[in-house]
Amino acid sequence: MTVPTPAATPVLRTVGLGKTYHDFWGRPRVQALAGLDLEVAPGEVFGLLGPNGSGKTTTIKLLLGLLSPTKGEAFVFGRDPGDQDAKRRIGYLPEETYLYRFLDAEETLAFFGRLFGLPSALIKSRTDELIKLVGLDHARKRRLGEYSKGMARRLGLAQTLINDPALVILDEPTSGLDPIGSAEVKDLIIRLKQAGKTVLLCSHLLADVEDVCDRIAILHQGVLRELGPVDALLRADDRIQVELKGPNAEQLAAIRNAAGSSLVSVAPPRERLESHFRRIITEAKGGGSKP
Amino acid sequence: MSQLVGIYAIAALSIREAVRQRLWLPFAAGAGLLMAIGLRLGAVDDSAKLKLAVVGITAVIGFVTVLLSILVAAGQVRRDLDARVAYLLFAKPLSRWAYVVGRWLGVMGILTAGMLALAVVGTLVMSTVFPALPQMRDVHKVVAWEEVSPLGEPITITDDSSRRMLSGQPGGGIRWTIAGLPTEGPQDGLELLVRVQVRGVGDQMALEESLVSVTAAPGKGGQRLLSLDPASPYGFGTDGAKPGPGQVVLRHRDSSRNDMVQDFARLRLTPDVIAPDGTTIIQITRLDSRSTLVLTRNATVLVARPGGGFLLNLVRGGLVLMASAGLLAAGTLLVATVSNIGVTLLAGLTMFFAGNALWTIQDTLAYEKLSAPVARLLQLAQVLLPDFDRFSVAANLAASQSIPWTAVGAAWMYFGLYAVVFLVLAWFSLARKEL
Ligand SMILES: Nc1ncnc2c1ncn2[C@@H]1O[C@H](COP(=O)(O)OP(=O)(O)OP(=O)(O)O)[C@@H](O)[C@H]1O
Ligand SMILES: [Mg+2]
Repeated sequence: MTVPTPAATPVLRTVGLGKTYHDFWGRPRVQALAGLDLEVAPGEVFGLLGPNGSGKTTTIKLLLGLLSPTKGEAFVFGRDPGDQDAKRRIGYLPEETYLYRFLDAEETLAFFGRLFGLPSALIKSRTDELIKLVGLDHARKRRLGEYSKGMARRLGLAQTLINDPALVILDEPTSGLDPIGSAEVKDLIIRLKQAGKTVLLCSHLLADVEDVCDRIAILHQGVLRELGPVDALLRADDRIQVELKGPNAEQLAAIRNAAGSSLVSVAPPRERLESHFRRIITEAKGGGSKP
Repeated sequence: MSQLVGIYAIAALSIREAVRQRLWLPFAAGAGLLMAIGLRLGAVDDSAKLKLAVVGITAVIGFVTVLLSILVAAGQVRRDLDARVAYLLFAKPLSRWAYVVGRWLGVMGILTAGMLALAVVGTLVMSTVFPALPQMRDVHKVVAWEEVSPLGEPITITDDSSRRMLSGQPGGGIRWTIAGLPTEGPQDGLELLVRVQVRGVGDQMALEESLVSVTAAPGKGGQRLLSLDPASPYGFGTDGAKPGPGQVVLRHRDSSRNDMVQDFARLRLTPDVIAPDGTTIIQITRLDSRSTLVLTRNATVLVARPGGGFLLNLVRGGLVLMASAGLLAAGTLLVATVSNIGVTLLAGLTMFFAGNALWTIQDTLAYEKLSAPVARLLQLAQVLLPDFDRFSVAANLAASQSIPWTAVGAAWMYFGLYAVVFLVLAWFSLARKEL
């Protein structure tokens, strides 16, 4: 399978990136990632999918320089992971919300803004804007120790955007969010895309991924199983889907008759990525090699 | 350069965190203890009161800063790593060294604020309990000493012992050269403090005082008689008889007693005995044939000048104590990057107690028969371990002896070196850490 080569310098690039966790004595424990080759172009929304423990978070940590790879290389904005100038342009939401319980929402955002060296006037206006964006205006003066899980998640999301990042890395952004919150995250990603940002999204909500991502990669046990544009991956070449709006029984019967034996199914449209994802993982589990 | 903002942000966070987690409580408890000391002092004998108060205040400041340096450094760094806030911190443009420095500075900021508060409360307590705060004195260093025979011939002191005994025929004495005295400005503040141990000989064993003359000169020869300060606690003799001009009756003073206000005979040092280069030569001549005098190089004559207010000296003492707290904070920070909270706290406290118990190593080396490898090991420990007893803040303050800025500088040079080494190691350990 060919990886489409973007014209501009990729925002993210990994070459044979691998990570094996070692124990205290240096003995290899888990191979979390085995030789990942990826490129993410500017302005792209890229979905990183995979079952639990497949190496998604590990990949992100390698890209942020929080872990050092045991093999291969990674580049962020063409620089080494962990490069301060690269980090200046990244917004990162970890898979769990790690924030200071003794700070309130405003103080939290101001603190992270200061780590980016932003001037205080800018910090103040962005804090205002972001707190409203994530719907925490009513709780802006409350300590995070009193926040619910979803509220903390929302603030985590706000924190991600404090530096107006060019690359946004979201590790399961909707975990702990209510359905409205999840929908808002989806909208937010679409808006980020419209603003020309690059987004790396890890999520188990496949319907959302399908809606917002340009391309996806599917990992299983640290191995890349699938990579490509969402549309292309989901197109089944020998099948045609006919979508009818509010069909009646006679219309359906007519279609059934006309199609005869080549008919596969007549059903309301489903979350197609979901079945695709399941198939990839089932194949991988059944000893199927990397496509 | 860009890391400065990060250092500042982390340090400010540390302070805010400490305030929000009510870490000022130990300081408040310390202040309460100071008040209690002040109230209870009525029960103690007068001369010891002041010393006790000063030692108490210094101890509270030392204890609280030491304890907090360990608690805060361990707690904050360990929490960042355990609660995984570190993921987020180091995904931002914050260097790991800047984090280490920021946390350390934050701890020092907390300690500085607490130390200043305790010093002010302590001084307030003192000034309500005592009619006047102790007058602090600065002491000039002795640069040389020699013996003078009863015939007036100088005898070089060749052995490196710091004690000298005078007995037998009267008229002999000791001369001390003291340098660095101010040659300009008002010099009436200059005092000469004198203290000796007096012993009788033969059937005069009970003798407690001895007649001496105290003289001074800008150079060799031409010694001028110095007169006693009328307010001097000693020098006039127990029977109330006034000694002749230039004569002083020195009462026996134990070498362990060194209060600059209470334990020394006090004389005026006039400008005419100070040479243009700021040196003076002081001579004590023994006039009583019945007595034996024990004199030391560094503790028998002290040239003192006003050493600043009590609060200022207490704060400088606090800064000396904070240097050792800075070392402990850095050491604890290092352990926190590699170990859990329990081990980290234990390590910090162990460091403190080991540093305070250095004298046991010295004693063991001096008095025990040791096998060579053990001796080697102890010598190494003696060289490597920081010595928390090195700067005697409490003893000096209690003796009304000032803590000069140079002592603060020396303490920070000494402990700061350890702190820097620990901080570099902490950075190294954190930089290699996989999050
Ligand atoms: N610090 C660590 N030490 C040892 N093994 C680890 C460590 N972190 C992750 N692993 C292992 O690496 C593998 C990949 O973990 P990773 O967190 O990347 O998975 P993930 O795809 O993000 O999963 P999830 O969907 O549950 O978040 C797992 O087998 C996990 O057990
Ligand atoms: Mg994960």
